[in-house]
Amino acid sequence: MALLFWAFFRVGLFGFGGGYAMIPLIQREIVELRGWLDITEFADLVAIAEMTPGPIAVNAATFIGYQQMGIVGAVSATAGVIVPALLIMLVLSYVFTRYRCVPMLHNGLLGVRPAVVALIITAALAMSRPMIASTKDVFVLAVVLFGLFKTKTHPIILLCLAGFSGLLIYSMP
Amino acid sequence: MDQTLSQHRQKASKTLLFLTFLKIGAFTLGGGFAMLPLIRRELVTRRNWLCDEEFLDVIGVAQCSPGPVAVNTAVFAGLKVLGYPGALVATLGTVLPSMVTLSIVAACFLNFRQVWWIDSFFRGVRPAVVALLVHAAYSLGSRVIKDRLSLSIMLGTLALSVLLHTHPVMLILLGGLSASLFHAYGTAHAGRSDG
Repeated sequence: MALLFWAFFRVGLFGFGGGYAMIPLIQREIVELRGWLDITEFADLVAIAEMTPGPIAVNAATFIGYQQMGIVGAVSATAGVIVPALLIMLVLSYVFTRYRCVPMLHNGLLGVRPAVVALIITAALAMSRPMIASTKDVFVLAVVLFGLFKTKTHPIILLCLAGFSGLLIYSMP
Repeated sequence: MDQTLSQHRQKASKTLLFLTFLKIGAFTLGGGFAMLPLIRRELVTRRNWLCDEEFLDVIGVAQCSPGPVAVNTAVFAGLKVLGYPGALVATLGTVLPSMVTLSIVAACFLNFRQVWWIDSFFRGVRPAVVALLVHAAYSLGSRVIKDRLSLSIMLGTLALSVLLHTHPVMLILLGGLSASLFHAYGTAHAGRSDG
C-alpha cells in the first residue's frame, strides 16, 4: 500500500502538464520499475482512462490501485497522485497571489515542456513496438491519425470507432 | 463579525463547491484541457465565484504546477473561493467520480478481459492509443517548441530517453535546469544586475 502511494506520489510530483504528459512517468513506474502491468495492458489502461470521466492520471491511479489491492489500493494510489498536487498548488498560489508571477519557475518550465514532448514520443515508440505489428494495426493507426489531425474528431469517438473496427477485423480469421 | 452567520454561509457554500466540482469530475471526458471549458462555465458563468481574469490566473498556475491539471485547477479555484477548506472539498469533488467509476471498471475489466469480443475491441483500440500519443506530442510540441533552445532540449531528451533509457524524472529536471541556466546566463549578459 505504501509502495502504491509512493509510486504515484512520484508521478504526481513530477508530472508537469497533466494528462498525456504524465503517461511516460506512469509507464516507467508501473510497467518498467514495478512490473504491475505489461505494455499492452498499459495501453488498454490509457484507453480506459481516456474514455471514462475525470483526470487521466487519477483514473489510471485508481485502476492500477484497485487491480493491485482493491479499494484500499485505489484510495492510496489516488492519494499519491493528488497529495503533491495539493501541497505544491497551495504553495504556488500563495507565491502567485503575492508576487503575481513566478519567474524562476517560468524559465524552468520553458525547458520542462520540450522534455515532456520528447517523453511522450518515447512512450509512443515503446508502445508501437508490440502494438503496431500487422498491416491491420498500421491501418487503424493511420485512420485514427487522419481523424485526429485532419477532421478534429473527438478522441473518445475515435477510440470507440477503433474498438469496433477491431471487433470486425481481428475477430475474423 | 457575526460568527454564526459566517459559519452558516460557509457550510452552505462548501457543499455547493463540493457538488460543483463533483459535477466537473463526473462529466468531463478526456481529462486535462478538456475539463477547462466546463470548469469555466461552472465557476465563472454560472456561480460567479471567479471573474474571467482570475480564471486565466488559475489555469496559468495550474499548468505550472506538477500533477493533473484538473486537480490543480480545483485546488486553486477552491482556495480562491473559500480558503483552505475550499481547496480540500473542491479536490475531493473532482476525484471522487473518477475513483468510483474506475474501481467499478477495474473490477469488471479484470474479470472479463479474456472474453473474445472485449479482446478484439482492445486490439483495435491499442493502435489508436499510439495515435493519440503521437497527436498529443505534436500539438504540445507545436506550442512549446519555439526556438533553438527548446528544440535542442527536446532532441536531447529524446536521445537520452530512447538510447540511454534515462529516467523521465531525471530528464524533466534536466530540461528545467538547462532552461533556467540558459536564461540566467542570458540575463547576466544583457547587463541586468538582478539575477
